[in-house]
Amino acid sequence: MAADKVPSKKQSIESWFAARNPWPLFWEKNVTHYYLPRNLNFWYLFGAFSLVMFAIQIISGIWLVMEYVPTASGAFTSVEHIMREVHWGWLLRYMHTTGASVFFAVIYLHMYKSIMYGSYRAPRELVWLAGMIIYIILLMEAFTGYVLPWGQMSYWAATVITSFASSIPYFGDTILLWLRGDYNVGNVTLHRFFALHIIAIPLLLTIMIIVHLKALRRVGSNNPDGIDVNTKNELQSLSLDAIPFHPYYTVKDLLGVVVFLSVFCYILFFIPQFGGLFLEPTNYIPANPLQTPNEITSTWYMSPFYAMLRAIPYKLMGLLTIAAAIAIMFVLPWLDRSPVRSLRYKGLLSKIAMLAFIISFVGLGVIGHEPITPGRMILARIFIIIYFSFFLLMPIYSVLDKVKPLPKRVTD
Amino acid sequence: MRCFIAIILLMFYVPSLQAASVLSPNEITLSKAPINRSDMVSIKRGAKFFAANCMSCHTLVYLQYDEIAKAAGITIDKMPLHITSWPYGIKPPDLSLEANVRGVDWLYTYLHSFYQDSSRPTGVNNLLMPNTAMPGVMLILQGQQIVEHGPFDVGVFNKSIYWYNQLTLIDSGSMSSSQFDESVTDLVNFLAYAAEPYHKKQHAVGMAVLGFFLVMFLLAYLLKKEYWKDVEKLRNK
Repeated sequence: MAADKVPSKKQSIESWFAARNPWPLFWEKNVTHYYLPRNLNFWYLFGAFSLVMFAIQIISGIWLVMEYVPTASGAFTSVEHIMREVHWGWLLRYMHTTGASVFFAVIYLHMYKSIMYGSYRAPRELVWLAGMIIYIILLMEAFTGYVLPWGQMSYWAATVITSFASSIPYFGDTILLWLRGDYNVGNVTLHRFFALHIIAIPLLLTIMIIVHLKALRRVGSNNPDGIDVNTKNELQSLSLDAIPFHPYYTVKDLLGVVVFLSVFCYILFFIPQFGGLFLEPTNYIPANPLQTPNEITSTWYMSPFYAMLRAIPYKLMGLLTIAAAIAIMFVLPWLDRSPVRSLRYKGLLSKIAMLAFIISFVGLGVIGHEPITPGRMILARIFIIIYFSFFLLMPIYSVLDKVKPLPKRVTD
Repeated sequence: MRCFIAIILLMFYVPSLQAASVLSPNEITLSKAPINRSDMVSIKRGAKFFAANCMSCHTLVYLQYDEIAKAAGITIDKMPLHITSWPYGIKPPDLSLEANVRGVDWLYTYLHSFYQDSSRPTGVNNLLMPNTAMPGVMLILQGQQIVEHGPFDVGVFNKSIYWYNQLTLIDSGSMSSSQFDESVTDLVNFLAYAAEPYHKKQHAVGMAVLGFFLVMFLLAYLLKKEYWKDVEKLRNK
């Protein structure tokens, strides 16, 4: 045998590795040969933004944990220690606090896109459901994180929110004790919230993000026209309107992410308190179990639900309303009976419903953040009715609605 | 779309309208604190003022490692940390984060709006925080002030009432009016610094980061435009 026919040591290692390495196949399947409709507009960037936010939260969070002290006596001081004495500590912490709020802003816009373009419709129900679970996990993550600085609002938010458990009939007090780990919110509560915030919930979140993306890869992206674009990777059936994720959407996402991070960094470096919306003034006062703040309002991203709670006279009824408000979003894919997916081709009825829904949700958010007055109470109740009508009447108005004809191919 | 945005903006406007109509009777419009947060000379003057006038009662515990505070004589061993019995049983708050809790305009207005009130054990009262436990330290410098109309006499609906509309100086203090304003400005500037000692660096880094993203934006934009030329052709296929 001629010596030059024998594979060199280097070549044999390469071929050994190539036969086992999953990465090129993964890359091909999910990036270079993953096809998307060519008409995805800027609304479709918010999914990418939320992944960026997730990464920012994980990374800044790891560094915060290095200096944070999860005890009732040390938490507040350790946060100030991070802000003042730790090198770039203020940057890490502002990244995390701004990140929390911006994450929610991005998620809300991402959800709005789905509702607007009917991305929850068949065959993408599982994508929507996984997304809804992510939303609930995020709310839990935000709440447990909010408690950690152990300021006045942290303490009293923990007290108020855990106290909801006590309105459950029969088992309320037992559940309350189980949640808090003590008869009052205190050191034990803080410690377990810390464990949940940095390990349990992020782990769940990671898993659900993978499930969400996998479910999306299986059925392919919807598009602003809501029409079917064959994005399956078989050349004979591939639509003329389908383009590969890489390089087209990777460069578009890159451009979007640069703009998004500019806005994010502008807030982070110049207005991190965001007028008291992202960091409340009251939370600069250390937790004091003996003194209730004058006004306990919710963080902006939970305030639509807080407004519901305050507008309903009985606490248990209020809680059930919140539970229903979230639960009803889960069944959205089966409420919409319209022959078209996208709002672009839906008729006036659906457009009015959509507008009323946005007004009621944003309106509830504003009311939940303000001190309660009788006028706002009535307004909140009207908004709650509109909110639920949007969902409950959808099987009716989505059928009655006059839809426009769908185009054969995507439009620009 | 534009209609949606307009309505969302309108939603934010409604509560602010309602807020105006429930103005509480002793609402004093806050005067704008004329501070310049990058003026280190003013901050250092404010720190000295704090050491001389405030530190017998107030602490600044989170500034114990701060160089500017140390240089002005604000050190942990000089702070009143171990006093247990305060007059009237009220412990004066730590002021490390007060500028973030109240806002600088609130502090500036509060420090200006003390007046004589013989019904109070301290002999003074405050327009912004009625029945405050803080004694009339500021009046020694500012001069004696009295209320002209009674503190809760608010004029026409929605009219701004400033502290100086309500208070009259009847006897000058150890400082002239403009000296006092400057000293309070320095002090408030220092308290703003105390709450966020990283503020100056934060802005400087922020400018650099935004500059970086501007360059990145141009590159990313050109890259996207170049690649998407192919996609334009698909449209007419």
